[in-house]
Amino acid sequence: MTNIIKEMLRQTRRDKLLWLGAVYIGAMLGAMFSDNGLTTDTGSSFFGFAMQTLYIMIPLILGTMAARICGADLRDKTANYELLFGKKRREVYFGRFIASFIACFTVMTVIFAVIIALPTALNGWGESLTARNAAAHLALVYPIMFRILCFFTAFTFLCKNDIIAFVVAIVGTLMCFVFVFAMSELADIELTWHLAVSDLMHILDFSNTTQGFVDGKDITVYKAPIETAAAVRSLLASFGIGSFWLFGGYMLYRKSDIS
Amino acid sequence: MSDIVIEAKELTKQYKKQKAVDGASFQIRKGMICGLVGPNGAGKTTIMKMLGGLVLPTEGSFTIFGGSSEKELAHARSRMSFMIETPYAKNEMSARENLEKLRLQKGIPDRKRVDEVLEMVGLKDAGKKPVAKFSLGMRQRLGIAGALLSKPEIMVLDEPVNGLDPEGIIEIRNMLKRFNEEEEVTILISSHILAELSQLCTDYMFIRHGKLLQTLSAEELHKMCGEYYHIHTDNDPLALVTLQNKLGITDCDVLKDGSLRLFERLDELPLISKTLYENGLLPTTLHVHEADLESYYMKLVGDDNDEHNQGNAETDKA
Repeated sequence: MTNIIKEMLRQTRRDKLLWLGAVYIGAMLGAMFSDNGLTTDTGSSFFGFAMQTLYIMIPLILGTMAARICGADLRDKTANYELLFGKKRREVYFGRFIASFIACFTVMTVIFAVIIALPTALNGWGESLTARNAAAHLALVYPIMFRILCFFTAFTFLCKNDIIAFVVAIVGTLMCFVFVFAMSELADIELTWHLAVSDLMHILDFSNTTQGFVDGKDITVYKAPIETAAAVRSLLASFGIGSFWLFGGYMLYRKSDIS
Repeated sequence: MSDIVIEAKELTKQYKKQKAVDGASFQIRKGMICGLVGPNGAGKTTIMKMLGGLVLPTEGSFTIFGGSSEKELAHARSRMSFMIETPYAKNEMSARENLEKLRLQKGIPDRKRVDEVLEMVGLKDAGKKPVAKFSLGMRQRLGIAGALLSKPEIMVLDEPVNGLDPEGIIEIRNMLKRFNEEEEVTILISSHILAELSQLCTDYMFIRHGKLLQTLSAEELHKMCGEYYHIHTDNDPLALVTLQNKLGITDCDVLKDGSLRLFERLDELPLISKTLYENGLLPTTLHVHEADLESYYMKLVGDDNDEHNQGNAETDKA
């Protein structure tokens, strides 16, 4: 499996399409954030703002990367060689999942690091949110990312095509967000851990704010405590449902004929 | 027997209502070059895919190097190489990059191996040209290069010379012969070019509609093909009736040009000749012909399904 992971990561590093996507997203986020306090706000203030934008981007980025990393070799059938070389289906499936996991978590960590480090380096951390609270939010985001990645890995192996998986990742994610918004607005039902996207919205919801006056300055203070029960539910859902998708996808792939 | 490297028992693959492979049992021994012969859709590729682990058998089982569990088969496949259907390749990459990817996937430490196989299949000069711009022949060569990358003990090749020019076909044939003779590589090969197979194979498996019709060695095939008289006269229909009525001949084909193929009374040329003359028929062709793989194949499986062989078929059972 190590060979598969190494080769997938090597291929990902050389994938021009992924680099193009990275430049596009980087430019888009850069333009959006630079107009909204990336260099003028404190680290804590900007963190709260940026996360409210980023929660929509996270599933899109993960879906795109998983589709490309897992699906490109399935579409052109070069992944068949791994089976023909004597690799087990388990290795082909989980090798790609682990490669996607490493690549996606690296990319997301870099994005988080830039969002935190740049304004903090320029203007200090500030008082809008404690570093401990921010770390707790981020720590809960990673398991949700795991859950999303499990789903997209399973789906990509099911359709065996990166393009279809990419389109579904984009359209499906946006539909999910619309559904969650509609549920909360029209039916007054708040979905939290039930869906990965609603859980993500809940964890990264920094819209509830108040104004504070610290050291002679007006500041925005985020009222975003994480209740223990909600955190536990989110963690259980992330690992439970994530594992369901991941192993369910594997069971289907293990029993499927490959054309 | 310890020299059996692949053994299948009642191997069956069913897709919905259709059986792609129906109870195929066969053995392949070390050092064989076994030709899998059959028309399109006969089940040749499905058998190869089952051996490669891409398709799972519905019923039956097979062993490779004596192993049949998932772990044993995976280990066995690491000692084999496969080229199934059109070679899989990344279109945006060059031949070298594709082989480098395969080398890393398989964990072959020797970096020079890529250059060696590129040289072997004549793709060393392909440079950075992406596979998308390769001809079918070049893609086939790339597929063969991929199959040779790991110095396999068994090669499973599905139509490996498809799309190659005559020179390429000869090169590949010689290469496979060399591997078989010098390195005892066992080869399971399918091809529509039966003349090509007949120059290469030591054994044959004939398959049709998923059923294995016959398994025999080249020697047995030679004996079974036997000989026939090719007879062409100034009035072939009358010649046929004459031979049937006067000599009681029943085993006879009428070819498309009207001429006859006679499979019996092969040691009675003077009598046949005399009978034709006495009935006012003038033979323009009357000679002994040794049947080849194509003739035998057509006789065995018929020509109704195989467009590739229609040109050679020319037979209607008299």
